[in-house]
Amino acid sequence: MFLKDVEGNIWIGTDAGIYIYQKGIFNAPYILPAISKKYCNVLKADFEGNIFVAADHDVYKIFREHLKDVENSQPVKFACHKENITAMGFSRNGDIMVSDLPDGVAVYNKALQLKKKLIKHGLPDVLLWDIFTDREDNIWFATENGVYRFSNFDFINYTPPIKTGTPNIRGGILYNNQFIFSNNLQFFTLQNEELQTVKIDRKNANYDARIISTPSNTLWLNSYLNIGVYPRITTWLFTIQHGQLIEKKVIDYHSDPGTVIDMEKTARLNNKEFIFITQDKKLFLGHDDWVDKIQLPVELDTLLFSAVGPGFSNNEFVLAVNKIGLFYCKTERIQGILQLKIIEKIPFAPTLQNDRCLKIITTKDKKIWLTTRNNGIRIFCKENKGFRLYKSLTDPEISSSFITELLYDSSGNMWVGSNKGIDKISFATQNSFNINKGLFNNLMDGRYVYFLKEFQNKLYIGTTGALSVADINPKLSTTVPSVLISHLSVNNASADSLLGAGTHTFSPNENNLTFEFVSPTFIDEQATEYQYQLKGIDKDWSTAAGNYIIAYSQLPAGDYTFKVRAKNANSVWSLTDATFSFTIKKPFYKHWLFFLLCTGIVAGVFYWLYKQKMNRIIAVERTRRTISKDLHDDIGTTLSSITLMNAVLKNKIESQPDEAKRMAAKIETTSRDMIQNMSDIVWSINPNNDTLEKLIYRLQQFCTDVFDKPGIQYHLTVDEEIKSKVLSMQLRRDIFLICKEIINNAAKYSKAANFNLSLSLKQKTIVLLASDDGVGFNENTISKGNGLMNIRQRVNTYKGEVELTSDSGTTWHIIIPT
Amino acid sequence: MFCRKLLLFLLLMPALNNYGQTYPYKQFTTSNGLINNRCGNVSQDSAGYIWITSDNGISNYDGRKFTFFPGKNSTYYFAHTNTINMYKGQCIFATAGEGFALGLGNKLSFSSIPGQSKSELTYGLILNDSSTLVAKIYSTDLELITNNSKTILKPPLEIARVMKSF
Repeated sequence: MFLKDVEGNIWIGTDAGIYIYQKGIFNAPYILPAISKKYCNVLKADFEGNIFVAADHDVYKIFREHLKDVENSQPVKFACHKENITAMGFSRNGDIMVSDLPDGVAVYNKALQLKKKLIKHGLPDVLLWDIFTDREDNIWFATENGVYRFSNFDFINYTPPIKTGTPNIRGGILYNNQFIFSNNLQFFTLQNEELQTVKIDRKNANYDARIISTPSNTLWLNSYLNIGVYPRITTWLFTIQHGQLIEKKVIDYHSDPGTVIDMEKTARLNNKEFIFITQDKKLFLGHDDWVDKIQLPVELDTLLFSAVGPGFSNNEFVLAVNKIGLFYCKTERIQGILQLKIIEKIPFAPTLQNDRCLKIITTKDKKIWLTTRNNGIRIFCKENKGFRLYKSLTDPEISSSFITELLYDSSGNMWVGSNKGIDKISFATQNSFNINKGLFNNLMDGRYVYFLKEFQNKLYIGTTGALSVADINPKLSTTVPSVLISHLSVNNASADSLLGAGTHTFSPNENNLTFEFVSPTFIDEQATEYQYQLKGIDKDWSTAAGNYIIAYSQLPAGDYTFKVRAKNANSVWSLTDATFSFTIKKPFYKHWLFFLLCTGIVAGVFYWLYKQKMNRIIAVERTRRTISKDLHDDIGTTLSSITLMNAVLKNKIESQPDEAKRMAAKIETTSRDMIQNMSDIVWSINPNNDTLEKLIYRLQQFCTDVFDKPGIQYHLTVDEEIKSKVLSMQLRRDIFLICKEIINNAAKYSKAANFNLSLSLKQKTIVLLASDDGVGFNENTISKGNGLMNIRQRVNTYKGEVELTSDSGTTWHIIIPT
Repeated sequence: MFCRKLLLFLLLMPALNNYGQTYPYKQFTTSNGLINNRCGNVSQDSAGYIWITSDNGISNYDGRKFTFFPGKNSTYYFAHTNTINMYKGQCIFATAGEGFALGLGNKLSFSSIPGQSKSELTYGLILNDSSTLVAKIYSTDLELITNNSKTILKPPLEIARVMKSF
C-alpha cells in the first residue's frame, strides 16, 4: 500500500508496520511505533487529508495537522473489529466507513464514535475490497460479486417479508411517537431503524390492515368476522402497548355490507371528531366512543363522495363529490342530529367531472389542493367572493398527472406522490415555487406511492415495494457534472481522433456529422439530461432530454461549433460545455474566385462576339471601299478616257480617217481591258473564289489568253497542299494582280520562249516564283511604269519580300506572309 | 479463498430470513459489461469516469456503459493489492507485466516502468514528476526509479497485501 499525503510524506503499508519517507525524501524511513509489527492492510486519506490506517483488526487515525511532523504524531485508535479490515472509505460529511466482517460495514462519525452499522442483510455483500466516494457522494463498494453503488446511506427501504405478492405498504400513521405501518396483513413499527412486527392477539379475524388514528390518538382498525352471508363490519379500537395491539373498544356502525373505512379519506374536525368515507363512498362522523351517520342536505343526499380533507378551522371540511364539485362544509348538531351545512360550492370544470378525486389538502394560506387520477393537481384559493381555480399542475410540470398523495410538511413544502415517484414543491414566495421532480426515483425503483408522512424530520414513503425512509431535507450533492463528446463520426466513419482542441476543416461532401456525448454522473444515470446546439444551424439550445446522440446531415458550407451541456439527477447543470468547432469548406463552384472567373469568361465571350461583329462591319466597309475605289480607279477612269477618245474620234472621223481608225482601235483595246478589269473585280468579290485553287484556275485562263499570241510556252506549278488554302479577298486579289502584272510583262516585253510560275506554301508564307528565258531588263534604265512599283507596293502591304533578278531572263522571288 | 466465501455465505443464510432493511443500491456485474466480477478497487478520474480494477484488467464506466481496456497480456492486473493513486488528474494503475497504466476519460494508456522488464509484476506505484516508486510482487524489493537509475530502498520489507490475509 502506497500513499502520498498532503505534506508530501510517502507512506508504505507493510506486513510489519507503517514506513514513512518524510517529505518524500528517501532516507531512512520512520516507522510508526504505535503500529509497528502489525499487518497494515488498508492505508487511506480522507477528504480533509487525515490518514487512516487499518492494522490487523484495528483502525487508527493520524490527524492532518500532525503530518508536518509525523515523528510526533499521535495515532488514535478508534475501532477494533472482529476480523481483519479489508476496506475503508470516507464520506464528505466526515463519516468513516470501515468493513466489519462478518457483519457488514461500521460507520463512524467525525468524533470517531460508532454512528451506525450497515448490517449484512441490508448489504449485497459483506466482503469488501474497496469503499470509494465519488464526486457526487455516491459510495461504491468493490466486491467479489461486482461493484455496488449506494446513492444515499440515509435512505433506507424496509421490506416486510410476505409469502406471496408484493408487500404493498398502503397505510402508515404516527402514533405515540412511533410510526406504524401495514402491508394489508400485518402491522409493523420501527425502532432504532429496525423493523418490528406488532402482534395482534385475536383469532378467527380477518383484519383489513387499514387503520385510522383518531384526533384523540386511538387507533381504528376494521375487521371482518366471517359470520353469516355478509361479513359483519365492526371497528375495533386499539392502543398499542409493548408492541402489542390492545383492544380498547368495539364500535359497530351501519354501513352497507362489505364496506370498510377508506383509511386515507379522513378529515379531522376537532380534538375528538373526524369525518371519514367508507369504501362504498358514504360519509360518517367518527368519535372514540361512537360512529354517527351524517344527515345530508337534499342536494347531496344521493351522491357519492370520493375524497374528504380538513377545512381551515375546526368543524369545517372539504368534500369532493363525484361528477359535481368540491363542497366546503361544516357540521352542526341540531336537536341531537348531526347535520351537514354547505358553506361554499366549487363546481367542477367538465374535465374534472369524469375524473376521480383522490386527496384533499388545505394549506395555511387558505388554498385547497385537490389531486386527481388524470388531471394532476388543482389548487383553489379563497377570495372574498368565494373560491376560484388558482393553478393547475399536470405532467410535465410535475412527474405525473396521476397524483395519489400529498404531504404539506412542517417546513411548508408540498410533497407530491404519484405513480412516477415523488416531487417536492418548495415555495420561494407565496406565488412562485420550484419543483424538484422525480426525487428518490433511483432509490425507490420507480414504485407507486401510497402515502407520504413526516415524522421526526424524516419522510416516510409507503410504496408498492417497501416503506422507504429518507431525510425530509435531503442534502443533495451540488457537484457540477462534467460533460464530454465521446464519439464523432463523419459520413458514418469514426472520427474520434479529431476530438480535442482546435478547429477542424471538412471538405464540402464531409457534411454528415454524428455526435455522441456523455456526462459521467452517477446519482441516477437514467435521469441525466442533455442540451445541445450546433452554432451556425441551431438558433437555441435543444430541449433538455435524455438522448445522447445527434446526427446532422447535409450541412451546408460554413463555420460551426457544436456544444453540449448536461444536467444530473439533482438538476445541477454542467458549467463548461463540451465543444467541437469545425468548418465545412465551400465547393469550388461556390467560391468567389470561381464566380469572378466565370463572369470574366462570359464578359470575354461577349466582348469577343462584339469585336467579331465590329470586325465584320469594318471588313465589309473596307471591301465596299475597295470595290468603290476599284470601280472608280479602273472602270471610271477607263470609261472617262473612252468617252474622251470617242469625242476626239467624232471630230476626226471626217477629217482624219486614219487617225480615227487608230483611235477606234485604241477604244476597242481600252474597252477590252476594262472588261478584263471588270471581270477581275467581279471575280475577286465572289466568295466562291476564296481558295487558291480558284486563283490558279483563273491565272491559267489568263496565261492562255496572254501567252497564246506571242507563242510563249508557260508552266504553272502549284503545291497540292496550297490548293485548299482559303485566302482573304484582299490577299487573293493582290496575289492575282501581282501574278497578272508579271505575266503581262513577260508576254509584252520579255520575248521569251518559256515562262514558269510556281506557287507554294512554306511555313505559313506563300512563295511565288516566276521566271522567263527572255531578254531581261535593267530595272534602272527601263521607263518606270506603274507595274513594278505596284508589285512592290502590294507585297509591302503584307510585309513580304520581293527579289527581282533580270539578267538573261527575268526571275521574281516573292514571299508573302498569310 | 473459496472456503472463506462458503463460510460467509453460510453465515449470511439466516440473515436472509430477517426483515429486510436495505440501503438502495445498484449492482454492476458482468451482465452490465464489467469484465470480471472480482473487483479490487474503484476510483474516479478528473473527467468523472469511474475506474474499476478486476482480475482480468481495468474497466471504466461513464454512466452509460462499461469499457474494458485489454492489455497485450490476457491478465495484467491482480485485484485487491493496490491503492489507486492519482497523477495529474489521471488514475495510476500498477499492472502485471504491462508496466503502469494511466486512465483518463475514455482512454487508458500503458507505459513501461523505466528500467524494468515487462514481465515483472508490480502492485504498488507512485508517480512523482521526477521519480517513480515501485513495489514488485513476489519480491521484497522496493525500487525508487529516478531518470532510469534504480535504487533499492532499505530496509527490505514486504508490502502489505490484503490478499494475504484471506
